[in-house]
Amino acid sequence: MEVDKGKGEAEETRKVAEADRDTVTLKSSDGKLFEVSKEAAARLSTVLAGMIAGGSIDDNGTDLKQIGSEALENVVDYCNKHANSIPSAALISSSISFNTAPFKEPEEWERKFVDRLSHDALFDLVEAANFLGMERLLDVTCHKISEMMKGKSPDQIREVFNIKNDYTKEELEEIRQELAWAFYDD
Amino acid sequence: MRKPARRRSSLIKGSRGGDVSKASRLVFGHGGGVDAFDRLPDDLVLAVLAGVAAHAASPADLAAAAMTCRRFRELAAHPVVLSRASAAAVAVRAARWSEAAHRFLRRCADAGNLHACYFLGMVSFYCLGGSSNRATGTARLARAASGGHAAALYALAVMRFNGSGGAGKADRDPRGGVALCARAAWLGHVPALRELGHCIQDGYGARRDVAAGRRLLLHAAAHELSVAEDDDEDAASRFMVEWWALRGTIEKSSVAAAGGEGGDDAEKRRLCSQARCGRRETRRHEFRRCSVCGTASYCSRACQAMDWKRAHRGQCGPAAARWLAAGNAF
Repeated sequence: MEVDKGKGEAEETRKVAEADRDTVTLKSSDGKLFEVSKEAAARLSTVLAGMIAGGSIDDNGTDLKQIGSEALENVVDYCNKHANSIPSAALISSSISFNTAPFKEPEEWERKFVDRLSHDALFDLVEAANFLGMERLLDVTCHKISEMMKGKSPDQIREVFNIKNDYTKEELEEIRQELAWAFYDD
Repeated sequence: MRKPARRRSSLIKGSRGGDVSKASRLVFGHGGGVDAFDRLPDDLVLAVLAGVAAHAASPADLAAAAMTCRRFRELAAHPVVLSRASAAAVAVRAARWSEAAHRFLRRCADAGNLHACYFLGMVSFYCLGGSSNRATGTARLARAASGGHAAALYALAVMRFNGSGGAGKADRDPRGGVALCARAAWLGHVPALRELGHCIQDGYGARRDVAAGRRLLLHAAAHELSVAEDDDEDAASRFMVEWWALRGTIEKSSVAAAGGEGGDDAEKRRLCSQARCGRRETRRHEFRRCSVCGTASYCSRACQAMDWKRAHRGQCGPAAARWLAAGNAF
């Protein structure tokens, strides 16, 4: 009777300790482990928040089979940096924009964070952020890609992103005429 | 509203090939020579294109993206992208006006883009002319104004003050103009603030309060000083100025040739003398004249004051200048 009670208590405390841990361990597709603050993970990723709330977080590393170690490292890096950064004035009071977009410009550290990524790593990160339901990280990474497209000619965009020109000659000519109004040099 | 539901993305991923290829494709990225966007579902490409539209420095940025491949062209026409286009992205130039440009602006405006609503509203009302274009122009401006577009509010105010599009002086609505001006000024629109100051100072469409009006005018003058010269460049005004400059040469020759289809009326309608405004009378004697020389005409007191500072002071004649400087030292 007493033994049982003691065992029960021990289990209880272990459970409490588990729930109290302030990090979660994530496992990439190639088996590498990463620790990330539970608070940040739950705040930044809807998918991880769901897993934490639903108790499907594995102490020995929650398997994320779709995400490679490089991308996961970036995700974890982003979460930790985000946990440490204080939202700047720019993030709180962005300029008056009356379109539907609630998008806020990337902060300085977020800019630096995506700027140092290689092409592949950037697209990997977009996919990882999409998979994990990380709204803000998706915004920041997509913003970076759109910045890379800005101010370039169609040929330059194709070259940068390896996009195949799937237009026929006639189609291309038609589109060029259709969009002629958009190209104007002072 | 901004982006379609992201759920779709997993469906799209799942539908491409079996599990093995999916895993390797997702995990190890793409090798050289593979389209980087092939891996992204449509909703993410939409988010990227919306970013291009939102930060575009000219219409060419979005057009270039649309020209790269079929998929981009299709997605670039999506309302999610068009609704986010920046003011610069919808700033069509008068020399490039075409049915295709008109269509693009209509699509943007219909997608709820307030910059496009304002731009197209101004172009329809003042440049395209005719009662049906004026009506749709006013509706577009009203759409932009109700979304909180300050320049559109001010544009509607100018129309109310002048009774633009109406038959005569009886269509002027100073009270309506003041109400719209107040809303635009509240949103930081400086010409509206100046106009409002004059109205309150003179008791035009509002209760007269000389001190309060004067205070607003001083505020407006202070704002104007802090804003760099080119910052106040309005794409719609630039379009209208260029439009009339182009038409000026064309119309004269065509009116002469065609025997003037409505031409004699059009000839006598004046442009606002403030060189960067671009508004044109919708009927004869709609605009106010410079009370000294009587040759310059203005759509609004805001334009008159600005032109006085920039140019008219030197053109109006030295005696007149002395007189005005003494009486109107704002």
